[in-house]
Amino acid sequence: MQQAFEFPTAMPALIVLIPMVGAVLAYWVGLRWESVRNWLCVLVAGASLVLCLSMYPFIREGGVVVTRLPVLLPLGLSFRVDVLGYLLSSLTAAIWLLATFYSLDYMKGEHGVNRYYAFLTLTLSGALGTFMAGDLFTFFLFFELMSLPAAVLVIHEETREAVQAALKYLFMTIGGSLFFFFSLVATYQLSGSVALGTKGLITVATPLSFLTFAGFLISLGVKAGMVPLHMWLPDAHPVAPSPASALLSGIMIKTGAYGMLRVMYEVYGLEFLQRTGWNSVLLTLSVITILMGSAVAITQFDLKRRLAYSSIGQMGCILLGMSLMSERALTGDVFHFFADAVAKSCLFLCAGVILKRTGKRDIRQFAGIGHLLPVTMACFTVSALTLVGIPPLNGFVSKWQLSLGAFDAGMPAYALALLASSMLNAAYYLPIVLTAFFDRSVQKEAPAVGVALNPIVKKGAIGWQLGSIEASAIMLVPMVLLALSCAVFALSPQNWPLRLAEMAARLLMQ
Amino acid sequence: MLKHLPVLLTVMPLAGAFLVPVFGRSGRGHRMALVTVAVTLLAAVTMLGITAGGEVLRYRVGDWPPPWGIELRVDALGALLASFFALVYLAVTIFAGRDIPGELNPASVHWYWSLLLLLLAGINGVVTAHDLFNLFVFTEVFSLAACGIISIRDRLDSLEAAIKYLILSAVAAGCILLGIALVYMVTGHLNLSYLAAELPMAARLYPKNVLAMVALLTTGFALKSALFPLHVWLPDAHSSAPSPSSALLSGLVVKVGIVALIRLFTTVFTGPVIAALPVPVFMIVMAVGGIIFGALFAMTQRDLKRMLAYSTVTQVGYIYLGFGLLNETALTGALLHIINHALLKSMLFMCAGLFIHRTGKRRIADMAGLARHMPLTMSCFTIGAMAMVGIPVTNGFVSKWHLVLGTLHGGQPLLAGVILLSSLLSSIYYFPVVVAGWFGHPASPPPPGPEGPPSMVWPIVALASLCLILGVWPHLPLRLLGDVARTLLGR
Repeated sequence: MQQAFEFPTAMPALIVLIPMVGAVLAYWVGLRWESVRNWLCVLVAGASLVLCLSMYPFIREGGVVVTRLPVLLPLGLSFRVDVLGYLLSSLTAAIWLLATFYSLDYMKGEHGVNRYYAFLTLTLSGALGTFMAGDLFTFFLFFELMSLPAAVLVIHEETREAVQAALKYLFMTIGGSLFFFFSLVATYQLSGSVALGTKGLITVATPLSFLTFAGFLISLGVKAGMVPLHMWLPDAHPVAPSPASALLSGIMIKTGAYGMLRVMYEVYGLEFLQRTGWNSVLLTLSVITILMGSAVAITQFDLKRRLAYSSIGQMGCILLGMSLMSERALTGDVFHFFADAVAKSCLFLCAGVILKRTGKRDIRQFAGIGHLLPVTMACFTVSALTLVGIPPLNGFVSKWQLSLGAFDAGMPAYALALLASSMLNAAYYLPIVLTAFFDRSVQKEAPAVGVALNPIVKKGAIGWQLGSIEASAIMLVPMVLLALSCAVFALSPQNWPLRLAEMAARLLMQ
Repeated sequence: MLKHLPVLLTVMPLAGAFLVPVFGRSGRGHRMALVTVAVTLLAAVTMLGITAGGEVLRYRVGDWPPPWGIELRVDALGALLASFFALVYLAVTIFAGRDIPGELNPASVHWYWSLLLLLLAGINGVVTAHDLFNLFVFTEVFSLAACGIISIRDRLDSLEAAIKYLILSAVAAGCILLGIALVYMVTGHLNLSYLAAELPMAARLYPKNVLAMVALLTTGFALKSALFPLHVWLPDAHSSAPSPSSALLSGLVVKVGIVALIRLFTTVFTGPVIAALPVPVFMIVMAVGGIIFGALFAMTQRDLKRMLAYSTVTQVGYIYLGFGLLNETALTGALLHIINHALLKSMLFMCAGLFIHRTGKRRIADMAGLARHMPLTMSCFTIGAMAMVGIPVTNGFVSKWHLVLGTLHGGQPLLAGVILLSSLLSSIYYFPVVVAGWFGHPASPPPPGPEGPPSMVWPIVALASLCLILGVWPHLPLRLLGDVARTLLGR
């Protein structure tokens, strides 16, 4: 096995610490100066992004950035950023930056804004720490640091619905983390170490090691929205403010899948799973997740709920990719983390603009909305097409690699599941796009419920509106950037994320 | 002076308890109690400094040598427990300064301080005792003092709870005394070291006596520490007492019975004596019962303090579970949990106390929207709730880590499942309170004004910070307790 270069720097600890301190600072500053706080949060996310990206020289040489802090907690903390962690933490910081920027306008005039920004930034710290963790204990710590503050984002509206969704989220999260805790302790018991990066901590198949595997599967499955543990997701994601939903669906549920990836390839190891065939459990569940998530999405008419179910379907693809156990499937899998995160957060941000501008959440009322919000709906369309997997876009690249991986693994039947996923995605995304742009029936009807829409509708101005009227640039820019990155990376000759994904896959398969 | 520290640990609060009623009327009692507790804390910490290296302080009362004289012993465990107990005591006593005068009949306030010190004397007496009879005497001292601080409030439910506690406590005392009589009959000794030497022989000659003795002592101390199903007195007693009393009862008093049992089982009933008896198995079964049923009962409570009291039943179950497994990791976890739970539950009861003091309400439903008026209290309550569930960076996580690892070391993954299930149940009854407190809307807001008197808020904040500090840097107590657990298990 090729020995990875280790670069001991304090960088990962710094990256985690900045948002953590920033969150506390933002809260105190926000008590007095609101705009300073808002820009502080953007700055913090930006600083995290820059610092994440600055690790590139180490990563390019195939190295890993390592920080060890043995003084804290019973087992000590450690960070270990390899190419996979690098890709995902940079992605996290980037999307966070965009969502925070978007919030500047979206959250204007809402209640509890101070709390919102503080917890948004704290959650960033947790998410970054999760992706950069060097051992399972650190992973667990930051996993919790991300999951629990996220409950505050879910409950933000403080309606009955929000409180119930948040409680459901809390109970399932804590239940899941208890399973993780069990598996963490059991791993420590079985191998005397919980460090990541060594291939195969657990090497003997015993009942306890299977229980451990099941514990990891359940706990990470809850976070990843794996059917049948997905129940919290369709409730929690829609009730949160849209930028928070974007992060919940775009980034946070990915941590579950990321953890699963680490557990399968580093705690157990490829060879072990091939020998025991335990990955078939995940293989089966992931197909069910794809089909269930996508099929239920069709029946939802609340836009954000449909997006939430669509997230479940996409997570199914990601889980499928990692359980196929072939290099190309893994490449596609890691790339799909990227593709889905970008597209799904863009979709949620679009949903936010629609909600803010028209007050509508029900997609049956979206007729003609594309003329009212052309840029938004264009971004929506691009992201939706990405998730369907239309050729020049990101989603095609990942589905192509995933399908090839399924053939490599000698299980071509699973490529059909991916095809089914694309078909179902088309079935629930394209009608929205079509209604939005081509259904003119809205003009015949009386202006419906959307109160916020009325000023514009009454003027009879359903036509091409420019950005300034559609939404402020602060909200449009993040969406446009995300929509562009759905296409740009796949079209450019140097597909940078794909190259990183290939490196990550090679590293995991070693 | 240093030589006399072990006895001073008991004598100082005892003397204080007698002096307060004489000199401590008209508000001076609280200050006297505070000074006494602070000095006791100082003595305990000094001894911790001495014993941390593994040295054991032996003290002969009146310089009479054992087995005739009374011997006191303070090892690292005793000093550590005494330090943390005194620390909690200090916080609660500061807190009580503003709470108690409002709760009690003015004529009985100075008696409260006296009883408080008597309780401390009893606790320290048990922690330092090295012979069975002293153990019994001080157990009775703290039980009666506990009874006093429950019933001192002139209310029917407090009185009823106190009588219930008194009767069951008397049953426990009877068991313990009978056990001591039996052991004295077969060995002729009461000093623990001498007993340990004699008992293997006695167990061979009089196996039935020894069996009965072990059963009686275990039952007696288990009743004192509210091991399921002997916990029936606890919810009434802990919820109807004044809040500072509840904090001490749930935080410290139930632990003392466990400490006594741990002492007995690790110094006296060792090796061949215990091998013949299924006591650890019995403890594990009862502990599991307590863990599950305590949590289930807590879920159905509407009264905040009753919920906290049932949660204590669960936590006592954890400690017994770690103890019953009798391996190093689990015992470390159990000992650590004694300390952690003492900090946590006292803090939570003080939060409840401040809430009641401020609003006059005590139902869980009335806590909705509390964070608007009492943000610090609610933050501390949240930390406590998180620690009870065992979320990392709180001290509850560290003890749970050791307990679960201990169950796996003992080859019992099912018991790990029990611990985790009860953590989930804990989250089901703690988190709705937290969520309602932060995000709920109060039915009737409390009168405007500050959160509470600083002398009530800061002890809570101090204990909550300590919970976090011990969660992030658990190394000092862990190292000590790891050594202690190794020594106790004779490895």
